[in-house]
Amino acid sequence: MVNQKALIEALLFAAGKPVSVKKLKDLTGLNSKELRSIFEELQSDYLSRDSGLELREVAGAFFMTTQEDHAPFIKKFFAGREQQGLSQAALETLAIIAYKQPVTRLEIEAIRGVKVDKILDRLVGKNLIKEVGRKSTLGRPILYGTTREFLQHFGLNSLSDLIPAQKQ
Amino acid sequence: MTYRVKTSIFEGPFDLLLHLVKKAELDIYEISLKEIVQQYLEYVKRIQEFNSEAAGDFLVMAATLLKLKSQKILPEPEAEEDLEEEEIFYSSEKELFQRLAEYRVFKERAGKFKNLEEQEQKHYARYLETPLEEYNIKEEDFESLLSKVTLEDLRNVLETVLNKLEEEDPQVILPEEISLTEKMEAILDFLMCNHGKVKIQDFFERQKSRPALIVSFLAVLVLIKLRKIFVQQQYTFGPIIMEYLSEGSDMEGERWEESG
Repeated sequence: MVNQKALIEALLFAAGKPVSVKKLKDLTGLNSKELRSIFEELQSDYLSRDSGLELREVAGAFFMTTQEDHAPFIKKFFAGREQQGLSQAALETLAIIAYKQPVTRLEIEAIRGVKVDKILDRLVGKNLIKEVGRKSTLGRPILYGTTREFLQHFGLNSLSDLIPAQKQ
Repeated sequence: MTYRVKTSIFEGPFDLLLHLVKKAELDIYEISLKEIVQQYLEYVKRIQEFNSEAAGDFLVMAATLLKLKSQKILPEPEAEEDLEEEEIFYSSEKELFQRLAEYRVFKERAGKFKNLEEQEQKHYARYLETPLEEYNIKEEDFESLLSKVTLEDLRNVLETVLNKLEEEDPQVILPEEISLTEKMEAILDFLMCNHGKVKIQDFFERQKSRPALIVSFLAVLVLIKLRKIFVQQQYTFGPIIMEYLSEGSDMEGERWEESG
């Protein structure tokens, strides 16, 4: 009998990216409830022994990463290869899409007051947004929505994490 | 590092408008016309050489503001004239302010996303040299994948490659030295090994580089001049035969060896 907790830990380490509950189910044969309780147990293990690693739920999946206190040192280690943050234009465009999705290019442009075609291309290229359909108006314009990578990029678990800001 | 010089923090006309309103710390209607124009010109002076398109966007905004402002000051227009006014970018101040308010909300949200992004970038996943998804690209997917490659991606790759190059020690390429005297000797040796008579082509074909070939040709000319060898062609386009002449002057040969 394999130690289930150790197995989940090993899988999350080897993946190097968020692993969905569905994937873990397929791999281990455990059900969602069992997986969740094992994950939570692991999570508190790491916390209680002040580990350099941390387990979080990101984009609806389990994710093993380093703990943020060590970020400056790791950043130094990866000097020259660090991920660049998104531009202000990209962030504004993403914010509009995140809260207004599904949304067309023209609707985004109306809010930002500038053209966004190039930014949309870039965001699609980065997999942060995708086409989610066509609006049934003249010209059937493309509707955009956010992706799983979007949630992962901002460390969000689901779109509902954004709701508190939506009251406005 | 950005590849395009960016002198401003404004991301669009609404952004500038927000800035202008904030800077004056007043209601938009309280800003004097002069102030709007001055701030606008000051701003455009800084950006126009870098991005004329952006300057154009801001011009629309400033013009709209001025129009709204002047409408406010002038007496109410006649009802008939109203219809003609519908063409402007933002048909009413109400619409403009709705847009502005909406933009302000999203600008703030963008700021929150920036914080989230920074926070998330402090968490490092286990580093994989090649992300797993990149394996097994099907040929039919290639074109659609290629179209997703942005200028920024290419720039990042270039930068990574250049950084790696800088790390490596540059290789020093020394000029190849080919000595005329050595070539002359080589030709004579070659002749000796082949009973004093060879096709000139056979010797040239052994030369591995262009400079070696040129020096070989010079060596042949010098040897002819020294009467050490004799060259002849039996018929047009036929092989050129090189023959050793034993009665060549040794004295002259030494002179060449010294200056070679």
